[in-house]
Amino acid sequence: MNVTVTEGPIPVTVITGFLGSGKTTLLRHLLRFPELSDTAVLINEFGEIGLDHYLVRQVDENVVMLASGCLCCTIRDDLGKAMRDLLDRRTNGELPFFGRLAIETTGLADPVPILHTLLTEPVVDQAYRLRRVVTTVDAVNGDAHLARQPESAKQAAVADRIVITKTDLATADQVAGLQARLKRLNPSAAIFLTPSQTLKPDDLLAGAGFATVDKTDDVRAWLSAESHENHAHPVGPRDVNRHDDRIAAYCLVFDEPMDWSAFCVWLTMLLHAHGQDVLRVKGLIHVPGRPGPVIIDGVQHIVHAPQHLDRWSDGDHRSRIVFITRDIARDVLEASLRTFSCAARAIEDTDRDLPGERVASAAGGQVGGRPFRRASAPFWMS
Amino acid sequence: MCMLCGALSMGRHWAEKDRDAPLRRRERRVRIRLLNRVLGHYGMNAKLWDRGYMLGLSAGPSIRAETLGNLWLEVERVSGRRCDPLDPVLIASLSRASTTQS
Repeated sequence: MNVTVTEGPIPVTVITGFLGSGKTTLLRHLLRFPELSDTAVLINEFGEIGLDHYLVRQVDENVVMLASGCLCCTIRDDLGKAMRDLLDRRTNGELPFFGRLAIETTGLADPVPILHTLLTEPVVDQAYRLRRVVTTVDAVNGDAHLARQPESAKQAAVADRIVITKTDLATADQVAGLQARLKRLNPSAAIFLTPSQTLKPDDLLAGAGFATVDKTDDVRAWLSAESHENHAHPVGPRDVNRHDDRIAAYCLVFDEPMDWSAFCVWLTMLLHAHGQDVLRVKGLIHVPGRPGPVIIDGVQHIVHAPQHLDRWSDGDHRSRIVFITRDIARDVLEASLRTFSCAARAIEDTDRDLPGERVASAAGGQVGGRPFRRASAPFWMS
Repeated sequence: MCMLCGALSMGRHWAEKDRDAPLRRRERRVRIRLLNRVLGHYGMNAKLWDRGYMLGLSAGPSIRAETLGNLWLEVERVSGRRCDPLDPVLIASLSRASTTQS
């Protein structure tokens, strides 16, 4: 395996899933592959993984190296500290180079605090970048978990990859039904079946993730509005006592460009009021004046730094935003965003009607042919 | 740290992370006007201040909000009202203002 020299943030994959859903089995399977030689894995306890067969050497009480070259490390105190320690030890040569990190959330049902650590803790937020969330769901008990455990539905809703495990212990109808239910919860997550499919590390860990997407085509692959429309509503009446029935995934499409300020004001207000119930927001936005779309990606209150692409890949410049929400109706959300967008457009139209005032107030603008302020004036003077 | 008010700076909020400075300046102008439309519903207003916002009631001291992220918390704390973009009363108010303006 060629070692990948990572100059930018280290990509992170979070592996989550309900108790007994097969996270550890999945991880043990992946750790056998030589392709993971440049990967560090953070887990709670070595004993849970059963690494004896793969162990090459023990670096210290918290770090072991496996036959594949992968580093396996325990989280002793807290995740942020463990991630900073790994980085420090890699930098000063105590640990071999690793180009990516996988975190297994044993015993932690809610993956969002991990994402919070990744995005807000000092050093961690600069040195690491979340690439994807992988969720395991048990083919035999998954239906019951989704119905009765809110954490299970959330894990599936925030996933980029879903692995349905133990398909050999369930009937074909059970597997098909669970797959359809997960597709409805999260239409854009790729779903894999094990052990019927032999998973390779690249299936789950490689490829462009949300935070590293740099091509509009990648974005379109997970934004296909048609799949969201088809899967938005379950067959039959909704049962509000089933946790996943309260969750809906839908894609809002806007033909007109959307003012970035309108979107920011609106989304910050929405997440303030309903962050717990906005399980995922991701999309591409056509902002006037920009050469390419702005990519937005958030999980509950956590929003990645938006990515500003430098071009569109084709002539379809509509804004498309996928929401996975709990107890928030699509039409209410859409009407709200459209109202904010219209309000911003009305403000812009007013500004355009007053060209003299606009030029005079802008840093770098001119009045009577002479500069009003230097173009280098600080932005807050605008 | 802000040399005027001594406030410690936080990392850039996602809504403020933009490489294109001229576009950012223009968008901040639209942003503050849109914010004032929304805040008017809660009896408040806002001005740009350093990298954040200064919030005010019609009568009373000003309160600083570092980012859009914590601005809504401050508005709720001061106004005593819940800030919710899905509130049909707020939506109706914004729609009326946009219609009147056009």
